[in-house]
Amino acid sequence: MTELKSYTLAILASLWVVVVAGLAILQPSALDVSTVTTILQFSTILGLVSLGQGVVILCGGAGIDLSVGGIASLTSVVAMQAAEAGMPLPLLPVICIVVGAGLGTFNGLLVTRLGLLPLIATLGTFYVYSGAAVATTGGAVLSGVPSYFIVWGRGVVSGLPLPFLTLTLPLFLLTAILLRFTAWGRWIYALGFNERSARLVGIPVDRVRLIAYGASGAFAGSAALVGLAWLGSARPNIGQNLELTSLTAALLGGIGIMGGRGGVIGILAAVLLLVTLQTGLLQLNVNSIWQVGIIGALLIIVLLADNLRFIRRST
Amino acid sequence: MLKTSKLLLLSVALLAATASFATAADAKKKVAFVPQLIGIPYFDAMKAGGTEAATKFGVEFIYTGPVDANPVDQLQIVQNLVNQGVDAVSVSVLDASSIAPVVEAAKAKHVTLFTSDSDAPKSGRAVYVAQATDEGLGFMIIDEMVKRVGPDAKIGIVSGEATASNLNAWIGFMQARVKDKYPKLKLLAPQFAGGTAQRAAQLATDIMAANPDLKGIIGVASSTCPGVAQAIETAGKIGKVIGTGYCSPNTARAYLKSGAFAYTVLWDPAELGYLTVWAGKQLIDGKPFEATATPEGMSHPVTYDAKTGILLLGEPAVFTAQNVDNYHF
Repeated sequence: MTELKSYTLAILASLWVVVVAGLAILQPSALDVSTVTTILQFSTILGLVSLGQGVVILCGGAGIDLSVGGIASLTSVVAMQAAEAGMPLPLLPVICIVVGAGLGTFNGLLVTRLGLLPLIATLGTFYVYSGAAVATTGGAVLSGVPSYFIVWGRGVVSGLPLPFLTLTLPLFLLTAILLRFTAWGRWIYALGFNERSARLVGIPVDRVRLIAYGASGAFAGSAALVGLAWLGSARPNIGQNLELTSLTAALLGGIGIMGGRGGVIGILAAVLLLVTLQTGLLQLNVNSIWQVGIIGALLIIVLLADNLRFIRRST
Repeated sequence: MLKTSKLLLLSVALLAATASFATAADAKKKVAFVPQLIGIPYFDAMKAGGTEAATKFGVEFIYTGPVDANPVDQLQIVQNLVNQGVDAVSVSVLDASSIAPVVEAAKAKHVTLFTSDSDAPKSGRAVYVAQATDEGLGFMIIDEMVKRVGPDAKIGIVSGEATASNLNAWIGFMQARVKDKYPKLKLLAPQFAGGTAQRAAQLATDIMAANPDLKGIIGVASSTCPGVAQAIETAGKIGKVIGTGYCSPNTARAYLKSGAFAYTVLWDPAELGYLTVWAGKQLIDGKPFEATATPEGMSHPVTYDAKTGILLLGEPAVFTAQNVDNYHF
């Protein structure tokens, strides 16, 4: 398992080097601290959401969370509405995470208690959550985020954005440690790898899975918090497109779609690669229609490389 | 390891392929325009106008925007243009609040950031190049509708993205006009179709079914016009329900001729693109805008309001079956 993980990381790292080198040759002026800041800024929200997506997929049972974008949108709107209704502003981070975790747990209940297929359950809640976010606001943006959050959201320390440094990076490291060194982490791999035997040895499969969906919601909620602090307002469509981009990042990062395989550091590497690639292409003024195609091609190539290895091994 | 090197080769090839699309840097001043969405006729026309102005005024014109109307993607594109040090960056803002984080970054880099087509009023932008006032557009479409259906009628509205600030402003002025001048006119709550004509057709059909006494439907976003018109045609309500919208003659030509649309209200986006690049050049050169001026290459004067910082293209135009063939955009 470790061998596979390092293999994915090696591919991603070398691709990243290629992208940066290409950019250095074609547009030397792009190699600036401000580019690093930009890349990390746009990686922060995607990173948080992809982390949750990755954990859900790891748990197996055809796990997938298509509602992450909807959770981020609805959470930011609900948090600001609560603030307008008189909730003390310093509680914004708490309510973001609580609401996100709640919405995620609802997904988990649909999947574990009602036995809905995750694809269908979270597709449904994706529409419900993102629809509710637009409906309750009429599409309008809610402002009024206190300035001390904006100082954090837009803050940069020696080129590194504060939300990335203080939220995304620590959460990735924490999740990596939990997955690797705790019983819960081993359970997740075990039930993702073989659910039947995991049940037979007494792993609380449904509970682990429920918590994974809740965690994914909480990560999306923290992404909503970053959006609030960064943009200075709650936008009912802050999570637009995050469901598919986060899925791309998780798969590109080496998470096996069937579960039980991969690690979260790979996801972080994939997020950084994706955003660096986008930024590089934008710096070169490449038409953004090409960018979408290139990212798709990248996903297929990396997964194909992975697959070929399996085919060769099994024959 | 063999695989890794193959992959490396592949990605090098990919990069090389993309590099051929990149433009070489030169000494010309650069003006960029970031639309809300690329690949639709409206912004293509703005691009054409901008390119024409760039040739005329000797600047390099960069046109780049998101593939779907996503504010965060747009922000990322603007941020990168600022990082590149493009001299003037104009944006058709998708979401007024989302542009705020780059305004400071632009100032620090001495990049002039201004808005065009859709505004972010309190963002600190240098100027807003406006196609027509939101008020003029909102009032005009209602006035023209009343001319055709009378002041006592029920009108439906199908808009695009629920978060687009320009569309919401127009709807706001439609509602204000009805309240002030035509109290008997019943304007239904706007329905939002997102970016697709198909969804707009479905919404328009539903509105007609739910309101048998409906007299007119307004398609607010240019992407909703074909949907609204098709819905009127398929429902066999040509003449019974008056269709209209803010869309170009090319988009509406067939529907104006079939009678599904009685008129459309818009401006010339190519002229707007031209004016945008002209304004960018003025800003780079540090020339102030005059209250009334006729930019070189334009047929009519434009006005500038120093208090609001709005450079106005002119009055909106009304297109009908009679005059539509005089326009080709």
